[in-house]
Amino acid sequence: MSRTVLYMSMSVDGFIAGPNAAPGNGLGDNGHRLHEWFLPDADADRRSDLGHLAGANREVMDEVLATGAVVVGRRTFELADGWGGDHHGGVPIFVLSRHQPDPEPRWPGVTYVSEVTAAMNMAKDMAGDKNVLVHGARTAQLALAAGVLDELQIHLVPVLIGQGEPLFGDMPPDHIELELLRAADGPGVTHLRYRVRAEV
Amino acid sequence: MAVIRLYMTMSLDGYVTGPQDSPDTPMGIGGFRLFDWLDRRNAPGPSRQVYAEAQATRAVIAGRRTYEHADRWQGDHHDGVPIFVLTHNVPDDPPPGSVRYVTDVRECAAQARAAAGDNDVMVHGAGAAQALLRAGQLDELELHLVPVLLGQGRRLFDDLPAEHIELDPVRRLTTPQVEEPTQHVTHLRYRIRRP
Repeated sequence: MSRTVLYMSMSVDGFIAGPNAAPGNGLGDNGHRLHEWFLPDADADRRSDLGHLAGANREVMDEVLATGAVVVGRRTFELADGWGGDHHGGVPIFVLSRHQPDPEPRWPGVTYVSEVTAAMNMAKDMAGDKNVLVHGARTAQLALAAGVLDELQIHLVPVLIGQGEPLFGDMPPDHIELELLRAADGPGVTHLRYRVRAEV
Repeated sequence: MAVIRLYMTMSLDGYVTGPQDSPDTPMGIGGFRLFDWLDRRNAPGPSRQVYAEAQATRAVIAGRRTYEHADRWQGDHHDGVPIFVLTHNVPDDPPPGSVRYVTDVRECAAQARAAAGDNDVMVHGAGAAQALLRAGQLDELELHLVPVLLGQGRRLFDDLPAEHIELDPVRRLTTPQVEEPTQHVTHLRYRIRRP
């Protein structure tokens, strides 16, 4: 069955972007460091330069590319310039946003949805047997709070970046128990995959 | 020379206590969840190994808050090894047991290294960790990463400058799946790279 999986690169001190993230500086100041494990060259085109990946990094990236739909927060989506309307393989992208954008979306595969559970359900329908890739800190937090996030794939990058955007910044004080499904070390990163233990 | 190594248990969302930590509630609300892995400290496995390594350190550096919240460890953190407490204001009452107060972070690191000799130094507490990091005196991190999101609490890494500190992974020890889910933990050791 299709599962919703958060994929995020995070520093050991919990950041997913450096400070001052803005369009044109989508990962914040020096935030590219967090993506070096799959994209060593900051200027390279992200979809044409993954052939160098090996081992666990290759395996995890293959999983990403095998997902059948994307759910992403509007901020992350816009900071990434909408990935040109195609995150990978032309799969449908559901952008979580309180308001419809004006003007209408430029890209045919992009749908704006105002509520996280609805976004996940639509994405799962479109993904069929494949998993749904979830992206963005706020979307992750909303999905966790709503109980609609199944797994977290954290790419833990061995660096302290000091300041920036935390992945888990503003959550209620309720514990969310996780189960480690897999830990794998690739060059320059440790991949930790957790399942949300819904029963506790 | 002695390695100065931070030993801290941290939730996946980066907290080392729950919210509202205080002397009466040293781990904050619900924060003792983080220590469930220590139930396995005497059972065969990675957690026993890591715990034994921590107990083999021959000096402790702690921040004042951690020290007070831990009720000053009654003056003995483990085996009577010297405890160097970093504080801005040295208390008037004499320090208990093997405790010494130090106000300068470099001086504190030097004294702890000297006391530990050929063994290692354990650092405890977010404040001490950050002070040592900023002073370039922390050598390694041993993070016990617990599979839980606490949501709120005291962050281990907070208030650091926006300068990258590169880490070299040294070791990852993961507890076997047969154990009780809340006792699972991933022990991550990093060496702090000098610029």
